[in-house]
Amino acid sequence: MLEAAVIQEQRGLWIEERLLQQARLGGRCRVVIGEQEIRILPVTVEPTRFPYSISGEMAQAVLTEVRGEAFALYGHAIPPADQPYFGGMTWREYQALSDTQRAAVWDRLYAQYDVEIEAVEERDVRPNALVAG
Amino acid sequence: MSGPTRLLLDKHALSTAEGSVVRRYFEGTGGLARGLALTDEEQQAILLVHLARGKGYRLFLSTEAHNLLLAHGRQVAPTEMLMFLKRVEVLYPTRYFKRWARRVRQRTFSREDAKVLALATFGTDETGDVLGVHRVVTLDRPLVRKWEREQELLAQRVREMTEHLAMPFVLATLPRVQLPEDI
Repeated sequence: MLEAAVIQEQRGLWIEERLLQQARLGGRCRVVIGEQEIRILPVTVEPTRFPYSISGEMAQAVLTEVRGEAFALYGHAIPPADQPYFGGMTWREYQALSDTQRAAVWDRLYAQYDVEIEAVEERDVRPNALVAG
Repeated sequence: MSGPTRLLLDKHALSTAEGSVVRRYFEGTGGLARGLALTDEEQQAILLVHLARGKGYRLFLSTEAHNLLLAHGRQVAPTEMLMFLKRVEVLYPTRYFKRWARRVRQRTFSREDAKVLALATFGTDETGDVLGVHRVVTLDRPLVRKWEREQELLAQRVREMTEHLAMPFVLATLPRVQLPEDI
């Protein structure tokens, strides 16, 4: 951290981009200057539109429910950061990746199950199947 | 009569800056359980999946994505996988899938995108009771724009390909390709 964050009297505070990415702050953060500390906090910006045209209030209510479901499945405890998570990594390791690196992990795993078009096995359907449209 | 609106989630991973709905769902639920603030895309993905059934939609996933989740998710992210898979079904390729995927591919869609788009027209559920889905849901904005540009031509091609086929393939249509917020 000392090597990545630089404070100079004339130039201000500089933090390397990779640290901001690791902190999941992205471009949306606000700086709070306290008496003895400077905090960089994520700004929660709600999407302006949600699936199924639900309201922002309903969206937050659903997300709270989902959090409760996940929390319960994790045994009502915050899952440890060093617990295996995905792609052979722990949650902490996964979180440290940039979004591009995460995409690469998923791409690599997906490639193991992807097949050429000609190798796809085709099924038949009922003559009276419900056709989209 | 086409039954409840059917949605196919995009392919599992993307090499572009946009994430897939599936990946954003996994990252979002993992973040929620740890009390993290979610990105817009994570919120959209979670809401799309969790509200689908209550809103009268059926959610589908490709067999490739399903197999990946079963192989990797069961061991390493069981909570996220459990929450996700109980809300989605698998969409299987039907007859004429390969022929149509090749034609979509000729319009310079990537192989992965061509497969998803072809599956949306020539895909069925476990019991073979449906053909195709109404919409492909993706966070890949370039794919949405490309589909809009190509849709008219592809609609003509699919009509030419299916006009002499037996039921139900003669009725096959193209899906709409949309962002979660447009569902």
